[in-house]
Amino acid sequence: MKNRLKVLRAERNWSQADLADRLEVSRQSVNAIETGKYDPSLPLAFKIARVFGAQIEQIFSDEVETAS
Amino acid sequence: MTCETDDLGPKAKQASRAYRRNMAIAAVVYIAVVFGAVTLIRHMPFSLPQWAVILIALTPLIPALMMMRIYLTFFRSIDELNRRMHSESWLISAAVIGLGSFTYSFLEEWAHLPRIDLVWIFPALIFAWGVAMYFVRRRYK
Repeated sequence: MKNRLKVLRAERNWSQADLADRLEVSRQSVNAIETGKYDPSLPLAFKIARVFGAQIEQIFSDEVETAS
Repeated sequence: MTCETDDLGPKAKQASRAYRRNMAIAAVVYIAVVFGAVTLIRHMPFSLPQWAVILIALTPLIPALMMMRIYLTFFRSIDELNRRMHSESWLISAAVIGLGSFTYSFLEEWAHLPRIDLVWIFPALIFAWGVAMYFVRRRYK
């Protein structure tokens, strides 16, 4: 699953730790989601959407990440 | 079972401190109970009835269950990625040690390899979990 987490975070000048604090998860979780190594659960995806004030589908898409 | 407090999530940091403290207390209680049980069974001036020996031998189970409860409380406090990593590591550990001990029992029986006491199964499970956790954690970095 692809996501725009890194872009949205950069737009707000938040570090991974800042976002992790807001989401009440570890920094490693934020990093794993951003790099596509981990797909969040639906409740966490909703929480991410709330933090960024966006819809889930504006952040996540079901396109498969392809190795370039 | 170890935990890295700096990367578990803010809620879990507090829970992690409680986990370490409670686990240390439970470990001390466990050691005391084991020593007490061994002393009672081996150094009693008179022989104990079988039911009493069984009862005393089961007493370390009480602090062990305390430890399990402390770990489960901690497990429920960590974030979903960490929970997944813990779970995956337990699964790998259970598979490796379960299949390993099962296979070794055939070797003991048929190839007459030295007998290994069952008491080593649990420490082996924890050790294998630690090793698995190292590799599982790397997958998500």
